[in-house]
Amino acid sequence: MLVRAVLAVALLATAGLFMRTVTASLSVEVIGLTHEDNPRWWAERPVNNQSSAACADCHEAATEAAAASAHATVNCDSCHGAAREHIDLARSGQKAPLPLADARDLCTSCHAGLASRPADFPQVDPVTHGAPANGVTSSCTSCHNPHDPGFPPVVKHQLEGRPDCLACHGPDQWQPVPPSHADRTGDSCLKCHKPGEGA
Amino acid sequence: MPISRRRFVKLGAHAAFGGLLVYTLRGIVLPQSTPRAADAEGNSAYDQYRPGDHDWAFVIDTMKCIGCGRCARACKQENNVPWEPQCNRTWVERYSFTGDGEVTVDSPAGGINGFADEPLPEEVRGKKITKSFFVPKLCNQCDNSPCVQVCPVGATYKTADGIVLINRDKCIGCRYCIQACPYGGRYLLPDEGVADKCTWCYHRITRGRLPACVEACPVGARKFGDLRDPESAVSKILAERNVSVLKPQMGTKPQAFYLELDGEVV
Repeated sequence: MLVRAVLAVALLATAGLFMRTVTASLSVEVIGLTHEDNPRWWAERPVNNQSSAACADCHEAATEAAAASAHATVNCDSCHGAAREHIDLARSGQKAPLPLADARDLCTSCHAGLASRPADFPQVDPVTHGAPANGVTSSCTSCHNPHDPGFPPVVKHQLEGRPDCLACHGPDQWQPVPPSHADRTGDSCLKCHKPGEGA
Repeated sequence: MPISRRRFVKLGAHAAFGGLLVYTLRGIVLPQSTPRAADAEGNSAYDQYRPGDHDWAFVIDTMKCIGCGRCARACKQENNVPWEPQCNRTWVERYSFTGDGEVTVDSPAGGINGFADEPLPEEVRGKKITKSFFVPKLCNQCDNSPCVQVCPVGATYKTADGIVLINRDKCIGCRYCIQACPYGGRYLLPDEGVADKCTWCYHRITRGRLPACVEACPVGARKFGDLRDPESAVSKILAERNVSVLKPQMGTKPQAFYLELDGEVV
């Protein structure tokens, strides 16, 4: 009888050991009986998107300017892409280009006028605003600095002729020419106005 | 060989006791856990992380969302979600209301490229749009998760901090969970043949960081935090403001809450 009892104990012990391997009770208190280390597997996935603070290590000026601007809430990676590989390569001394999509696509994905957007969010009509058809520019960054856009935006004025001025300051546009200026012609705008100096 | 009932029961009791003894002793004698390799960043943050100390929650402000899709794009890059075929852990829907009482919802490519170049759906084109807004969506990490309940092999489970995860080693790719989720939050990974979904960036939140979509949102439409911390942004919002969940009638107890949600949103 004793022998039989010992045999039974051994059998059950073996079964118990097997069950323990199967059910892996390491994290029973955490996740129940069946997922020993799966949360750890998920927790140890690599972090691909970096915060802007990580960019400041090398790109101090741009990061600081952006942090103080109306784009302070835009994370670098949001436009430039996930920076993990870029940072890893750069730290090991390798070239690590982080190609940027066309500014017009990047900017309009937030700033194109849409009925669904909150009305108080700055929006423009990409068809008329600085469009190539106006002969002004095809890139938003020709006039706007995405790292320090200003609010309302500070615009680089590199253009001179009246048609160029009217491309943005025509009727129904931003700071339109007053009606009293309607008959003025030629390159006269800059005789009185100093763009960027508040005149 | 005949055996009396008395002997049988006695033997069984002995055997059960013995088995229990050996089973317990093994647990005491053997180490409870083996040392873990450090992760790529040289530390294993998960060793310091205590799931039972957190109760994560997500708050989405549909009135702030501008539909730029930066969240969905960041998510794809963060979690290596395939760009093709279309599957998203998080996505953005556009709701358009016309005066005739019709509601149209569209989400081209899940909104990963935004909506600037996306024409309105045919049904509403040319009509006067009386109301329109964006609704970001993601896994609700339901407390009463249909996906966990239906999994035939127990491959998906809920952690103590409230996140529903999928064990890829156990998933058999039967797609039952994909059918069961009322929010369309799950999809099948084409190469691995296993179910996948948003984890609220478990690898980031367990390191004390924000989910990638929250960090990417330029207008603060996504908020994430710990309900165990009464000072967290999500705790305060839930305490002070009108919030609702998607499809409350399903009884899933979502842990993602929506601010000022329109009643037509499903």
